[in-house]
Amino acid sequence: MTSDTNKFIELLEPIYNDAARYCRSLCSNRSPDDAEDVLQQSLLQALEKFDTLKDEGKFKSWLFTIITRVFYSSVRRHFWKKFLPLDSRPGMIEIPEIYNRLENLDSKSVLRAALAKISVKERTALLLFELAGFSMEEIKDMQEEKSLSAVKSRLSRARKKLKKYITGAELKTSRNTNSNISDEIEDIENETIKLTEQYKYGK
Amino acid sequence: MKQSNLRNNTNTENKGGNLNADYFSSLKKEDFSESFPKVESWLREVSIKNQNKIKERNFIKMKNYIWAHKMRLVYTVVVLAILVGACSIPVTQNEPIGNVISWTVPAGTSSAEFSGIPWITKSNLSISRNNNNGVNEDVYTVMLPGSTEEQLKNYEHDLEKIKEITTVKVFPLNENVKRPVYAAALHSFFRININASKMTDEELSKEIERQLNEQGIHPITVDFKGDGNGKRTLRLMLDSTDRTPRDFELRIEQDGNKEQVLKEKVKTDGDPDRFKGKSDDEIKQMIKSELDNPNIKDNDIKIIRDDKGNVKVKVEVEDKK
Repeated sequence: MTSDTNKFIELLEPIYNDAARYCRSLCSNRSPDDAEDVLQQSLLQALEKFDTLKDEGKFKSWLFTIITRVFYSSVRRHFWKKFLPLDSRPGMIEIPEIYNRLENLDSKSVLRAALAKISVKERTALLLFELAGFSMEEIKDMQEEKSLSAVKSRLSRARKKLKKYITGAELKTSRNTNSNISDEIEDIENETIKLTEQYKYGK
Repeated sequence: MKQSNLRNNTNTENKGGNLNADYFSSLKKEDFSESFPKVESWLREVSIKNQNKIKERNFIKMKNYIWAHKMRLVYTVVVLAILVGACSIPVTQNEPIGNVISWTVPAGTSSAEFSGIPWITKSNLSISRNNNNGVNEDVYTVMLPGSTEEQLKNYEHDLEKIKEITTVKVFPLNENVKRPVYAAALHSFFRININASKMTDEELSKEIERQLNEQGIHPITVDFKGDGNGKRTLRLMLDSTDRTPRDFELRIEQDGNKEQVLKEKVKTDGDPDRFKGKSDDEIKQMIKSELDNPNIKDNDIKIIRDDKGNVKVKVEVEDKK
């Protein structure tokens, strides 16, 4: 055990929750296993390259940059996984289970479903801004963009798309709910008629 | 400020539409901090494994390097073996072991004339008779092993005082010595060993000067300076007209078994006239470039100019081990 590892853990602890949340939201359209895989790879890379970090004050943005890059490569990997057997590194100790496998259908799920529909870069920018609290300037550096306006327009596009998808999902849910109520009323009416007839003639 | 306004605007926009800020706040409320202790122990485990892996990787790297460069390594070993072998080959060196003084007197001259001279003893004296153009003469020969140039001059002077002696000749006495190449190379060094225990700087300077004189090196000055921290610096001013290049090693044993080794490299300047008409700075520059020793400072180079315009340059270089 090196002092570097201790220092790494010490710096990781206060931002661990943000990092775990960010990974889960990035992998919105994928399983919790994939999100854990992204977190695992990111932490391993960060631990390996920790000696290259010059300013400890920038640990959070440094780690989130690594997570973002690992996520991008995991997206590419996910695509090739359909054609090639890309197993994880042999002999690697797997990260313990972090995410709940049985998530309820709530607002989180609606948002995740919507996030899954927007592009990878838009999703990353939006989550870095809304969830991790980074400034646009920081996101520009993390996404290796040349201008701030590129990040601004990306965020704007992402919000519009997200709004559209969430609105659509809410409408669909409401329609389903209304349809279910009508069915139930019809069932009650039928049952009432049936019981009335039974009472009338049965007697 | 601008950033935070933007973030607020986003929320306002979301609240105004169907996209509710609660969606993001529900994500923000997610808490995974409970899993941190597990992740922490996982990181520690991985770190230990990585350390072992690095060691393993280095070993494999070394193994691969040796395997990839096996021929080069074999050549290196062979070349080294050849070098060691070559250095062990004995070479013959002609080494002076002393001098022979020979003088001639007319035949029949009594040897009592020389009996008063202390360095002539019966054991080292031999007499032979020669016939030189019909004239008989006795040739006396004395072997003087380990004699110095100064001693020889004194001996010659002693013999010149005797009227009967017609000729005096001095021959160097050499012998062939076989030694390995490396020993022959080392032998070209002069070695001066001095036990400096209980010696003052002045006494030590005199002792060094005496030993250098015996080796045929005639320093103009020998100066021993201490810096107060136990470090003493030896400065030698050597005669630059002596054109024989030589190296010498000076070993001085101090009190408390401490040994200070000074290695002095002396190079002569070749043509002594080449400094004529040159400024001190130019001469110093010439010396520095010729000797190619970074330890040489301007103060180490002494320039002596005489009335005739001749320039003498003395360089004292010191390397400490």
